[in-house]
Amino acid sequence: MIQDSVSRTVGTGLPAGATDAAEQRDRWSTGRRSVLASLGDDPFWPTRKPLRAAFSLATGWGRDRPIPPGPIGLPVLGSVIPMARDPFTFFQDCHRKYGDIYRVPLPVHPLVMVNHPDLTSYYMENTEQKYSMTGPIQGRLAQRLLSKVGSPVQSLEGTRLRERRRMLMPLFGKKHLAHVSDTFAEVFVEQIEKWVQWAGTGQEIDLQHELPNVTLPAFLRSMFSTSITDKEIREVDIDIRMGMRSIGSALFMMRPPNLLPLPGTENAPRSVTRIALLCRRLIKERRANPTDKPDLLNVLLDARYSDGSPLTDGDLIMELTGLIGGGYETVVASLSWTLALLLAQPDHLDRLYSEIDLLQGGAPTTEDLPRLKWAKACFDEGQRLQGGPINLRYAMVDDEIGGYPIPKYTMVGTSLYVVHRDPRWWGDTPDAYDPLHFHDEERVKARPRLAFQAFGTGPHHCMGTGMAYMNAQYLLAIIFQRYRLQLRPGWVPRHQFTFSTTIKNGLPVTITRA
Amino acid sequence: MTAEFSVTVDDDVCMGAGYCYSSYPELFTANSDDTSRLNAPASSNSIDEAEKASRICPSGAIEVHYRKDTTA
Repeated sequence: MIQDSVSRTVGTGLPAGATDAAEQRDRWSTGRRSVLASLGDDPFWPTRKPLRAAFSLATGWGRDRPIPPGPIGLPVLGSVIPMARDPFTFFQDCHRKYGDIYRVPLPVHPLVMVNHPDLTSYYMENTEQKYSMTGPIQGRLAQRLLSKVGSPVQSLEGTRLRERRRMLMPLFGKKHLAHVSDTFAEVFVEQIEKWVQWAGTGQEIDLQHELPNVTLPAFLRSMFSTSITDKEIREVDIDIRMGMRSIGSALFMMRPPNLLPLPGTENAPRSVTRIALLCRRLIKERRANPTDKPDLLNVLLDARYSDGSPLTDGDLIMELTGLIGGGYETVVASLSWTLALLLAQPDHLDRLYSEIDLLQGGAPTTEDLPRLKWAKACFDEGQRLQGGPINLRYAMVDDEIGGYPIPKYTMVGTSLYVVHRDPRWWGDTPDAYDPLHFHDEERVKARPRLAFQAFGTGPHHCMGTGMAYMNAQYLLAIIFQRYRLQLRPGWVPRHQFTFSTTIKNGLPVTITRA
Repeated sequence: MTAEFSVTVDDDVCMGAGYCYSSYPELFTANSDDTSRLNAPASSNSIDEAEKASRICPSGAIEVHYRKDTTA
């Protein structure tokens, strides 16, 4: 058993040393003395939080101890610079050095990283609102403002979150996927057949750059049952990426977007306005010309709260924007990673070709999905090694994890990049691409459920999981029914944080006919 | 007065995330498309597991229904 090879005390939910540390709380753990004592663990924290430090000294409020181990960082900035430069390596190095729980000194909100699946379950799957995905906007004033302009499901918590998800889930269940399946397959075929222009020419193309031209039109057509112009599709892509950059920069992990609305430039205000206007126009057109097509827009327009009221226009625009972003871009990133790793493994590829041959050249349908198990395993293994750098929640109350106090408003995070490479769950060669990790049911059962968290977990678990799998299985089948792809010789993919996790400098391939 | 309960899986809503049958295989089984189905009507011994499965189900497809047994 992989788990048995580990001697840490994580099986009890506690990291090595935490039990002892908890027992050693003494008079230096509370009051003014704790402020002085904490300087030994985290010497620069008064430079990051000077008011809190002064207040603590003056009042004896203190700083709760024990403090998780972690890097010391710089005065004021903490560890912002190495984390922003390469968050993947930074969190991996910290995990190796400090174990399953460690702190990362950052300005504004302190960060505690938690990397054992049991501990991740504790805070991510909490249903009592102890932790929130969008803590800073959970205040009454921010929520009141949001309710005026529109609240996407990601911004909600508690009862409102459950109610909104109940309204949206029919979009992603088996029944509705069967309704939109043909639309996805049809547009995928239409767009992928255009790759014939490169087939056999020896011309290298960046597939990561081309995949949005396949997934975005398919998603928009399944959503609105109408063709969006090529110009609008390009603009939606720009606008969604601008939004992702805005969020990524707030986490100190991307450069901020252009905020100045100067004419002739792409900027955040322009993107927000443009995508909101596009969604508003499509909603207006549908209301003026109702259809009975079971597309995503009709499901949203028909959705009702328990009191019978519909979504407001602001909520509709927010949901549509969130669905577009979450729907097409995530699949582009994870499928790019899947192809980047799979194309270097001829045996795994041959097995995929054989599986796809079962479709006898026809476009895949939902009935074929159970027959495309190897394709699904290839995709999951791609997602495993893609592994985002961090998935965050905000503590909304004072809490304790693994024996360490977690003060209110602490950011608590898990690095998927790290958990997805942990030898305890993935063996001695965790960096090797091996779809058997997912195809072999015994291996799946032998590891904790949250050793793999590509779709998150808890109240905010990705609603589009079934749709993502369907898209990935369809895309792999449709691509390899037509083509063979060759990677640039000697090339290896490198991680890049673009809010989702993409491949740095793209995915260079040449194409030949199958 | 005792409480009885039943468990349902809404297969129109289930996204096939697989949390229920991987965590509680005695209660749930995977269909061929990875969606979930109940093995058999839940017994009173399995109420805790059913509640936990309902809480972790990301689709909200698992519901535990209670009804009061007035004959007791």
